[in-house]
Amino acid sequence: MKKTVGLVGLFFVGVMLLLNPLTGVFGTAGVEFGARTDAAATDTAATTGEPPPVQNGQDSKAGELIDPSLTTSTLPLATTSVTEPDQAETIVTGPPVGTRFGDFQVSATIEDGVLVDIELLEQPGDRRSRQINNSAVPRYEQAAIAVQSADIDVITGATVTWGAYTESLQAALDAAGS
Amino acid sequence: MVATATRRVEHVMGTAVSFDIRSSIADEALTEAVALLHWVDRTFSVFRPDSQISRIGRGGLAADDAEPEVREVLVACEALRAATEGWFQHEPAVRLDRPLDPSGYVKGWAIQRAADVLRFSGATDFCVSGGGDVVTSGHPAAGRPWQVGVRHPLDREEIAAVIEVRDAAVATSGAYERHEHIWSNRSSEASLLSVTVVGPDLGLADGLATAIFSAGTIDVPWLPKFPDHEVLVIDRELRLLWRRRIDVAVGRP
Repeated sequence: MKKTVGLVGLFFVGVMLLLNPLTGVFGTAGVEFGARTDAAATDTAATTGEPPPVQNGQDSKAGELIDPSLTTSTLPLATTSVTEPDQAETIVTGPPVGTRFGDFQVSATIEDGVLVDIELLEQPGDRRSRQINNSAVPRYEQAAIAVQSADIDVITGATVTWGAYTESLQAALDAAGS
Repeated sequence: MVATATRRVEHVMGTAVSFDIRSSIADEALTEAVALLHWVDRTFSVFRPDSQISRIGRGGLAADDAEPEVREVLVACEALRAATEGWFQHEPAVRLDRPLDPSGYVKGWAIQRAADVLRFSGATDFCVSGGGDVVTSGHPAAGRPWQVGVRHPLDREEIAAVIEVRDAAVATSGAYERHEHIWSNRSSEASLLSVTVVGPDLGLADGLATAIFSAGTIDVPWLPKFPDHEVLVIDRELRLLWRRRIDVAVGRP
């Protein structure tokens, strides 16, 4: 049975983001590029030709059409559906995955085959790494949950954290047969 | 043994290189790709005094006597320097301790070669990523392309753009990585926070991203020399600018 599970207020996840074929996977409701806002909407900028188009994220509006040849869509508000209490819930734990800064380990909570939560059990302790992780890890959790992990592919400009995080998560999911 | 889906993270070249292989792959092919990266590290690292690059830089080894791959890289760097009117540099005038430093090309080149090992071994659907530079092949799942998130240069939590790619390489140079190789012999007026280049080869994409980052603007006159590349930059006003030249979908997260 396929369910949409809302994580109300947790990471502001809009699970409907996948519906947008251009922008869906990493979509985050409630974030405008260049500025944080509370509006649960974002937009697509796409363009052709020269001179290079300019888009200022702070000035852009949800649904603003930059180039008519490409789809632009407004993302729906984060879902508010509530997890039903009688669902089969499985919590699986991935193995620690080493990085040069230390180990990462996550556990995944799966309800009726849907990944609903990820908890970071272990993360590197040195100051630099913690600095990275405190901000990076919640974003990864959010992205992973929003896309059911399978659609998170890769990040350019990412740090070492990402690979270890996804590796431990994947192992947890594999263990769950998800 | 042949696995149907494989993930592996290898710590090499001062970063973590991750292999995400969605199609079947022979164990030996992955082992060979990883061994290649370690060989590149030993041979090209500017942090190892005994690497061939370090020895050539000190004058202790003639380039002509180096491994063929070393000569290949130096020729490529020379060509890239000429094509970018000097914005790509592998001989830093500002680093007397490190007179030869092709790192701005080598990391991407090495990851591309590792990806080529997988491809030549029959793997069709995979992604190899190291230090924010990415090679993609095929599809992550049936019917959809690889989705590459471009990290926000100031906020590590955020993804500034999403690029859909098919059989393409994506390299990002910016202030957020530990880019020891980003130095410049020239100074530029304008400046960028992040430069992402999409193209057919990660070595070239990496070198171009480094050169554009050093130049500090997307409006470099030599960009038309690389017609099969997409360039996306984020400037200091946090504007996302790109030149659409190839069939790559760019979206906002």
